[in-house]
Amino acid sequence: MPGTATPPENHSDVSLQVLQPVRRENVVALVGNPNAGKTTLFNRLTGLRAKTGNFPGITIEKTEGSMDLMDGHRVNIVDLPGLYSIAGATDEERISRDVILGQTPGMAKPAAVVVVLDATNLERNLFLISQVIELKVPTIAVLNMIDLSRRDGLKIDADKLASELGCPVVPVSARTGEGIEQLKQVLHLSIHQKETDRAVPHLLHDTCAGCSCPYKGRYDWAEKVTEACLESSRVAVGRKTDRIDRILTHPVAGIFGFFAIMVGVFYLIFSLASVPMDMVDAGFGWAQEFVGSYIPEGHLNSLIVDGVIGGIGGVIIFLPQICILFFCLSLLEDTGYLSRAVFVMDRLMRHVGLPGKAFIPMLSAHACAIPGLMATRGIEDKRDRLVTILTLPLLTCSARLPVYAMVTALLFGDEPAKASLLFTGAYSLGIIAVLVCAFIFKKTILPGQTKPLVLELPSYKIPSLRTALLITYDRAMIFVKKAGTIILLISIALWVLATFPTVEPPADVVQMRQQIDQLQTAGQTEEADALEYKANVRESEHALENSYAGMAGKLIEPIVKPLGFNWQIGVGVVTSFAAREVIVSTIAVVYGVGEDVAEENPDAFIDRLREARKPDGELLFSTATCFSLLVFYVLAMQCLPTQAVTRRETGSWKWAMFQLGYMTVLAYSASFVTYQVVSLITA
Amino acid sequence: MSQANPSVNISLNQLVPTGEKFSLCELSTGQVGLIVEVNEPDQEQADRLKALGLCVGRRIELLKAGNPMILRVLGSRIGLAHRLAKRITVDACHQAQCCE
Repeated sequence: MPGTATPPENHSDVSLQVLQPVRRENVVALVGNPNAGKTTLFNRLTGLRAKTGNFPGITIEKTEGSMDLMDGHRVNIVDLPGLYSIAGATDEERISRDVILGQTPGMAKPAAVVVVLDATNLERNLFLISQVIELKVPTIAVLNMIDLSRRDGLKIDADKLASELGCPVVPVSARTGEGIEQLKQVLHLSIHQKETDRAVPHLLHDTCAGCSCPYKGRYDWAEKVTEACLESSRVAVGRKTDRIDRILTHPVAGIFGFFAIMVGVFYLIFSLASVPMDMVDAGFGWAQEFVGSYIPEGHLNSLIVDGVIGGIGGVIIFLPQICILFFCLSLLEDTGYLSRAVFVMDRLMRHVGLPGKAFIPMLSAHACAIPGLMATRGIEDKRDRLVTILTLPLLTCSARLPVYAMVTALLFGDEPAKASLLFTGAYSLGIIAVLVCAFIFKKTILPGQTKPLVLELPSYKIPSLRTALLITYDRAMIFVKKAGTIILLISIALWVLATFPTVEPPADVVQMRQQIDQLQTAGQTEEADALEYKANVRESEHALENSYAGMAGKLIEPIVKPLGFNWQIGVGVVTSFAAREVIVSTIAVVYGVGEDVAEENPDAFIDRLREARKPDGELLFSTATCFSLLVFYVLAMQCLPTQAVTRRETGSWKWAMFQLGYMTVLAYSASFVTYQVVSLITA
Repeated sequence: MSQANPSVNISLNQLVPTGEKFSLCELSTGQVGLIVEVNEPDQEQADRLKALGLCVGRRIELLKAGNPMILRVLGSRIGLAHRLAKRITVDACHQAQCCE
């Protein structure tokens, strides 16, 4: 009953409710060419209220966000993928067409379709809007980057354009915020009209009057409309871009430029991230202690503290690196450099059967394979995308770093030069493995050439910091959500394997406990504490040895022996199956150091490992075993979340299983060769 | 203020085709051509080319020869692999006047 029960402060709403008696979700679709500044406009309108998901049944990203109009009316904005055409040639084009026409299940027909046009390049952008208008949907044209076009000396007659297109035209600059209020007003008007009253645009001139090629007709039309609406004669745009491109797309200088920029990004990732990573680590450590002190000792305590908090903390620790990576990537994309990088890399990568576009996922994979796999969506061709997905997890992600750090400390603890060389070697091994495997796949199971490159190289421009921050936030949330679901489940499963079946403490521990009691009654608390620590370590060592994980370690010992591993390392291989970095804490536990020591006093941990011996008296972590372990962890899959994402991105377990299989065989063989060769050399 | 030089880019649409037909690969840097044929058998690929403006009737300016090459069409730069460029036939226009 509107009108009667409305509180006075909602007075302005009354008239609107009369206009629109049934409240339903209002959807506005955002369409535009890639590089037209669509994402910047979307972020300008929605801010932090964006969420990224998928269109049902297909791995095309759907970004939705909400925006409040002046009367507080909430509008749902859908950001469609960047497109040059909606003729329906690709999945993205079909999906976008469906959304515009309101044929997507579970989504309302848009009250308005906002087409973002790049004002610095009207002719190209008019192609897409003419297609949208011909779908007979309420359309609003946004002339974005109006500030840049003004700077270039272009004068666009917006009224003339509006009459040519038959729809409202709003000049804006999403980067500076200019014109956004007018856009909101136009949206407001359009949304509060009844569906049947909404104006359907009509082009003043037909795009294809008896023409043979619809593309040609449409381009001819775009050319004419542009000529009619540009007051100034066409001027030279992008001379600056041409000059920069002379260097950055140069066959030699371009590659140097590329590597210089990538080294810069990596430097930022590894230098800036260390502080927040330490904070995350300390925060989770504190949470473990705090929560642990409120739950009585026992399985529940262990599950929550070690399984849940420890497991999630182990993944969230990589969040700072992922944030910095996406921040840098977003800035690079916004400046226009990323397409140049694709251009330069295509020359090199196509020889092994990888497209230039694979470089962006591969860059991301150096932080974490999961965002890398998601970034493969930018590769249109199915074969190219599959090769990229299959080889991507061979690249050194951050989770490998703790393993590299442990092995490096064991081998070259006090020789930083050799240590950094070993690190570089491990990274290079991953990259070489990608190139070799991609080449083998091209020659065997995935024959064919990579799709030839064709991509737009947008003009260079100053990036939007706001957009970069919002994209970073969005990516970070996706990652955190993943940590909260799938990684949580894996952590719990792992905890179960390492905890059950429970066994009685061994005789020496029982004895120690008795001694502790005696010491405490005698008032020697310090000695008691020291002994208790030893007893705890010994007990967890014993528990792990007899757990399912320990059994599995012993079971696979004969298999891993040729690699120079014993059953303890075998347990590490088993427990780190789901998350490779777990091997460090597992080895800490099986060698009776205790996880806390390994973290707080790494030197003591490494010293303890250096002294470890095989039953025959030989050093366990010999040079050969260390190298073998390193090679194994560079090449092995050892990451369940990655496999789950591979399954989702390829649509079947078949490829996920194949990926696991070939990587395991590769890691095993390479590790075997390494162990045998290094043993021979060092013998 | 704007350092626009009005003499520079107007040229593209006013250049007259010479009637000499070349594959896009055969043009040299700085040359302008009118696309007269796109003979790409892969339909999906052909649609991609057309959607980017590489379509009969458009004028292209070769900004940088090579593989991939860079050309200007419909006001924006496009990076294009040799393999696709050789499917495109252009009618070479008279050399664009020197502009700098």
